[in-house]
Amino acid sequence: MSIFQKQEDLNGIRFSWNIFPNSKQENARFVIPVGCLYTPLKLIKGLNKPKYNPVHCRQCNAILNPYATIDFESKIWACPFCYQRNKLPEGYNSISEQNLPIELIQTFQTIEYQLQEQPSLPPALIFLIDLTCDEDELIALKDSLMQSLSLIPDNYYIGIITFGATVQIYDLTFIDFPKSYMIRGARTLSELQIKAYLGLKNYESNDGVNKFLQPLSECELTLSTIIQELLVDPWKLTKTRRPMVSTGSALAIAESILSQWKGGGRIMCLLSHPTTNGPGMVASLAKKEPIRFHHDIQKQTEAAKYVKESTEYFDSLIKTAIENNISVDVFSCSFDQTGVYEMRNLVKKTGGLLLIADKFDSDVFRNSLTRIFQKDITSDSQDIDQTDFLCYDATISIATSKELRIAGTIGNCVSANQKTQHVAEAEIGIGGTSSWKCCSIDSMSTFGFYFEITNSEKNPVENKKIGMIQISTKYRTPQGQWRLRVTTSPHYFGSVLDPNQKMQIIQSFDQEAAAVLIARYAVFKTETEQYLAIIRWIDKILIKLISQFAKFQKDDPNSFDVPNNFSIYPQFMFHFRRCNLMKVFNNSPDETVFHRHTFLRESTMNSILMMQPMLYSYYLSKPPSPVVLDVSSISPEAILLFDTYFHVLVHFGTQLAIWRNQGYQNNPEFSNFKQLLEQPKKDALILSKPRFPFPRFTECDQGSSQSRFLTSRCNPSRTYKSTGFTNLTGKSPVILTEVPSFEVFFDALKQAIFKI
Amino acid sequence: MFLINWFFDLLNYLGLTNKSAKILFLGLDNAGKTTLMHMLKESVMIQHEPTLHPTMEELTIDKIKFQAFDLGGHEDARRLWKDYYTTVDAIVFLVDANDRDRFGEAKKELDELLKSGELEKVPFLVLGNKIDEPTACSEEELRSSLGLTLTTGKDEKKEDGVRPIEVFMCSVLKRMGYREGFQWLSKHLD
Ligand SMILES: Nc1nc2c(ncn2[C@@H]2O[C@H](COP(=O)(O)OP(=O)(O)OP(=O)(O)O)[C@@H](O)[C@H]2O)c(=O)[nH]1
Ligand SMILES: [Mg+2]
Ligand SMILES: [Zn+2]
Repeated sequence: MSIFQKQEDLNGIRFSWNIFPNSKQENARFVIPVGCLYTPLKLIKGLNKPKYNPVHCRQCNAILNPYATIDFESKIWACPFCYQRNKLPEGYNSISEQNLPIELIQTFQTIEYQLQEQPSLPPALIFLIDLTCDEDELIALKDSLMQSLSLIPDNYYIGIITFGATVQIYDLTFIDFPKSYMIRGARTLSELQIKAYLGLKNYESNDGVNKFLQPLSECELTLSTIIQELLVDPWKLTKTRRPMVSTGSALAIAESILSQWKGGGRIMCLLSHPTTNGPGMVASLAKKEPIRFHHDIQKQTEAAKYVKESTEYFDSLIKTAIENNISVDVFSCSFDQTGVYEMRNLVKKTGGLLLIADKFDSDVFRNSLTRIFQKDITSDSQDIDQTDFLCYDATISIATSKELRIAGTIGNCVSANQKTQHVAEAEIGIGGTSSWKCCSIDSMSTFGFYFEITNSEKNPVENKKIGMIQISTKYRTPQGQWRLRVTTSPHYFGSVLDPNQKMQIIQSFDQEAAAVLIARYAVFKTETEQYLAIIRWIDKILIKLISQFAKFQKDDPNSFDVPNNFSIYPQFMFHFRRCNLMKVFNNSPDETVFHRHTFLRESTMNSILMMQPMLYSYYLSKPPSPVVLDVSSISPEAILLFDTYFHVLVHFGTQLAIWRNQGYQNNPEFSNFKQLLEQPKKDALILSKPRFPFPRFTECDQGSSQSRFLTSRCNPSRTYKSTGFTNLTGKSPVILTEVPSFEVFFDALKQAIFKI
Repeated sequence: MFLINWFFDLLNYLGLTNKSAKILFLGLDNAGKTTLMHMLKESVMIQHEPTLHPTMEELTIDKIKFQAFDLGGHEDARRLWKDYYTTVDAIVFLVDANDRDRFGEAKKELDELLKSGELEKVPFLVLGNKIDEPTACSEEELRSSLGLTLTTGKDEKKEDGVRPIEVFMCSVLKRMGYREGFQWLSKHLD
């Protein structure tokens, strides 16, 4: 495990550079921006969770940390961010060098305060169910919902709203036979109208809203009855018409109810068709008008006529959602699009979860839904702490010492508009602030932060100086308790112009974090820039980076030597440029949104997986091992386990498939063969279990239809062109592609560098 | 109505009609639909993932504009095909000519399509793909396997009231055969 990965395990943080450039100009010489990927709620073994409130600097508000200088005599601490001297509060009277509180011990850069604040109300959850799916699908959906009821913490308040042509809001106070209010889906109702109709006029108390939201512990039976009795929307779809689906109205109603609830929460949309009725309409009722595709959106064709209005409608729900701490989750379960594209900002900005699966009756949906209500367990010798996956109402704030400024973040959150002294002039991602807000956050949510150096070249940061970054995340558990996670990270500065420092700077480069920070930036750019322009930008950075840090003689192309710390970065970029985070061909707009959304919420290593999948091989003769993502790793004698994060595939080599079809595994004499067949499947499950979204799982044989999932992502070092063969099943399979291999790409990179 | 048809063909041919023809790429998974679509759009052979959601690309083939819908051919995904039948102008049905084991399955799906009332008048271009493979079947074998021994004829003009259907063998990889198919198809578009 790399030192960078250890750092991540301990503190949930990884920096592109661990030594920072000592001036703005130097920053440009480092090529890759100074930044970090941070997982605020990362499960950390042995994390200290003191039960008291933190001490803040009265000048800059930074939190007392191990890098503060303490005067034990006078009980004064000097803030490492602004150098302000602060008096320690009474409770710290007994401290000495031998007797330090947890927050001052250097080995703990990360701690989590269990704040001594009035607990908040528990969160509420409204299931928003599209009833236009077919009979079988509804049965599968009901099963999953029933299962989730058994997992959701008891104190959650639950509501249930169903929709199709109309919207039904269930009154949970009627225990014996469910009663519901009905609103026609076609009309756009204002919040006031909705509240009036539902009797939610009493703004100061939860009175009115209790009809629709009840603690799970009290309404489980009622909910079960309602769920069991749900029927498919009577407005049947026909050969030429789509079903009437009023997602827009239903969401507005759910939001109006939740905005009466003081504990925040989430609206979980379970969709099977695009919105066709009322506000937010994504497609018309007539099937002869197809839903929009990438081409339509790019060229603004007739088919894209609803995009603008629909997106604006869903966007208009964001403000109220954020004010009331409401997250909107979308689970789109259909073989076709449901309008995720139009809802993308609503989900992203409210910190919602997004899933696309083929159907409700799938492992991807079932396991994803249960995953989010399962408890995460961090165990170490001292305590076993059960943590809820989903938490709420998070505010992430950054403090920097004065050599550094925060340029922005790229991730699923919104600005909290805090233009403090820590804010940089330039913006990367969501900038102009040093705080961000997420209505909902979980133990995987990861954000990319980008920093800027303030010093000019004339006045570089001194050699011995330590730059400080502190990230604090205040959030609420589903039990209503307030927590504050604080990570404080010190860094030295340097310049590549000094050969000694350059060595250390090279050592401090985390190519995985760097690649993900650049990729996040590229994905962020897709909202405003053309594909080719972004590719050119990625390539320019790659060329500059390698030419700055590789060793070579100008006149000798064979002298090229890339330091270890940089050696895989070009591969990451090669695979990233061609993966479906960047390319949209053969993907629908909904799928593209899904991939990008997930990418922007994942940790460094999971993001790397999405960019460049992992491949492991299993042979009868040798132990399993990771192999290169290259067509040459495919062999008739190997089973491959292929992991793209979204998809886990077990691929049987031709020879093994033949033996398997002949049933050798059933013969006790060949128990090692049987084991070989089973091991990758077991490993696949281990990889899949902690993830949200739960990955798709496929088993296939070499050269088969499904093996395209693998071959489309492998480096095509052997192709039809290079060999003249089209064989996919034999000893030296090829890939039928004309796109350049990594070797060609790398040669082009070298040439570009020698031309500079 | 020879003259009028001829006139419309010409219009089409010159790209003068504004409306682009809506065509569906159908066929079993792995037949080569997405490969063909990409070839027609970018003239580059690429390995694609199996298609999940349907996609659409605007293609210009011999100056005729097509709105081509590429639908996943995986068994589960086939139930979606019918959602795209309304107002289509043609079906391009791809078959992997090198995958004899699946001719039966392909025939079954093709027959389903041919039976469908909504597609009653819609021209069908059946492409037997991958003939670059030495073991690929011949046109005759494919025709008999799919039950398409009687077809419209490659040079026939459009005839009213009869659904045009024809088989062309092709290799997307070698960039051959499909162009003739589309030329035939364009003669039979309304
Ligand atoms: N030898 C040969 N192989 C081809 C040819 N055209 C496509 N292929 C290969 O056949 C497979 C077909 O892949 P796709 O085009 O993705 O198939 P599809 O019909 O879109 O399949 P689904 O998306 O699953 O419905 C790929 O592995 C291609 O490389 C061809 O002309 N010759
Ligand atoms: Mg396809
Ligand atoms: Zn301070």
